[in-house]
Amino acid sequence: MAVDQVDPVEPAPDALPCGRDPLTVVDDARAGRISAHSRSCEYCQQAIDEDRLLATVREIEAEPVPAPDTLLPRVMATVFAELRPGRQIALPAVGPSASVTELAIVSTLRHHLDELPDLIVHRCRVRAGEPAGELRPEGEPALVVELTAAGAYQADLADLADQVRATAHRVLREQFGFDDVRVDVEFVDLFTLADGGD
Amino acid sequence: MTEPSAADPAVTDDAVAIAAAQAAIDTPGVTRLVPAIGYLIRDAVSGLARQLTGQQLAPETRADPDAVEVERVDGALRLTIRIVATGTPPVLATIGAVRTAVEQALAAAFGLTAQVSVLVVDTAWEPDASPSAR
Amino acid sequence: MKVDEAAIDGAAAPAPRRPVKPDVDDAVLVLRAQDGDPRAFEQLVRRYQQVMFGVAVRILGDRDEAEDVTQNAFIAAWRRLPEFRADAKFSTWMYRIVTNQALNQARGQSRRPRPADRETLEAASGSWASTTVDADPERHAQRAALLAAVRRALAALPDQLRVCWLLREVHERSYQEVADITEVSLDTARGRIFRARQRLAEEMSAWR
Repeated sequence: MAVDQVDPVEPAPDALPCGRDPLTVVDDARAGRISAHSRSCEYCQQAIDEDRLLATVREIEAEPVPAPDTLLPRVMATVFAELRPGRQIALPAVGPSASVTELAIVSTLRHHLDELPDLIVHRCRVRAGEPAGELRPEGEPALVVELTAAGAYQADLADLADQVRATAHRVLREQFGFDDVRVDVEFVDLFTLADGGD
Repeated sequence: MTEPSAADPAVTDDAVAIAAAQAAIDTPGVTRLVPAIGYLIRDAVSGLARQLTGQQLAPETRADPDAVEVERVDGALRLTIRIVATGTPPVLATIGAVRTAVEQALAAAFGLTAQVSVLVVDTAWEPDASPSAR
Repeated sequence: MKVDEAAIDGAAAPAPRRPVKPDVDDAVLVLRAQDGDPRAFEQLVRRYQQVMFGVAVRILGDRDEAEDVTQNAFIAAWRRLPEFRADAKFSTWMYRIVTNQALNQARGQSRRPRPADRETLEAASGSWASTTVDADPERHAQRAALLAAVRRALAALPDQLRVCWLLREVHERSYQEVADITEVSLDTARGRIFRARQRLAEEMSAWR
């Protein structure tokens, strides 16, 4: 956000001759708050009267102009053509002739985790685990999943974390053949379940 | 890309890509193909199409050959196909099905054998998530 | 506890209400979209396309141009998502992109301020521009004339004043948000809104 230079052509609104700020006087009047001063002040009253004239203008301009049906599909056509799928990860069962992107794995996980009623997934990231090396003598599992989420206020978060991990492990095995996985879950927020409809 | 190889003078890379793309998109579990440089083409096309028709975006080509990368290495044909999978059947099974379908299509159409790799760019859990299907 | 109407009708006992997750808020959709999820971005577009198109069409006065600008703005947002600070408000950011693009478009063609064309006017003004003649044709004619006067008054405002007025008076953004969206100081934003109101009041004074 650029801070405007001091602009001699565009001063802040001058106070009304009575000292009040015209924007505030008008905003208050619209909200039905007219101070004792404004009630009897000709300058405030003029500002308020002028604003009443403009109520019609506001009404007219606020009439919605329906967005065209073509807008959303056009945007999404470009979005789907400009995916940022992340790195490619080879599937262990098949080898180099089959890979999936980080995005493919995350989309799959999100879809299944969204079905858990007590969970709203925030960030979900996957990466190939680091092999054994100087910094990590044991190495990491082949796939590491790191996700943050909000849990239902009424839920037991430890249980919920277990559910998340169990779901993630099952889905990754069934869909992609990943067996060697670590799932890290961090709860960053809570939410309240609303009363449902039918 | 369009040069026929010395070994197969009749079959261009484009023809291979077209046949492979069709076989891939027709495989159950594949909802669409993902072109590698599609966005450059798409912006130009959508602007032009809109000017010409004033109406709908030009429909996406479902069996998009730009989603197939064709390489010839030591006379052997290697393909990489970029897909979006639906997850039903499981992605692993879909990958196998795509490879089989493409191998069979190339053998049937051109008598060619190929090494087929599949890259799953994304998964989509609706029956057909491509914008053109809406 | 609400009474279940099925029970009153003597149907089977009502199933217990299943609690539902609240709608995902913008901030979470943004996080997901930043992770690369195009479907989360689509939900953001669905939420905001009407509002953003509304800004563009009021600035440009032309539906087709407004659609192009709005479309480009959302695409720009998708491309710039990786740099978006997730603790900022998505709506403010989107407003800023759309406003900038619409103003650039408006300036780029050296446009004279002009009343919106008839088609845009009718689409935009709902009941105000209804072509069904009132039972009272004189009242109808008066309303049409008022509408035309409003159009002229708004078109006569310099772009910068009109935009600030629009964001404050129609989109109900706070003064600080208007400043953030138009990338000026708070004082400048307030000044523009004040002068826009003044000028509009002058133009509309004949309708007192």
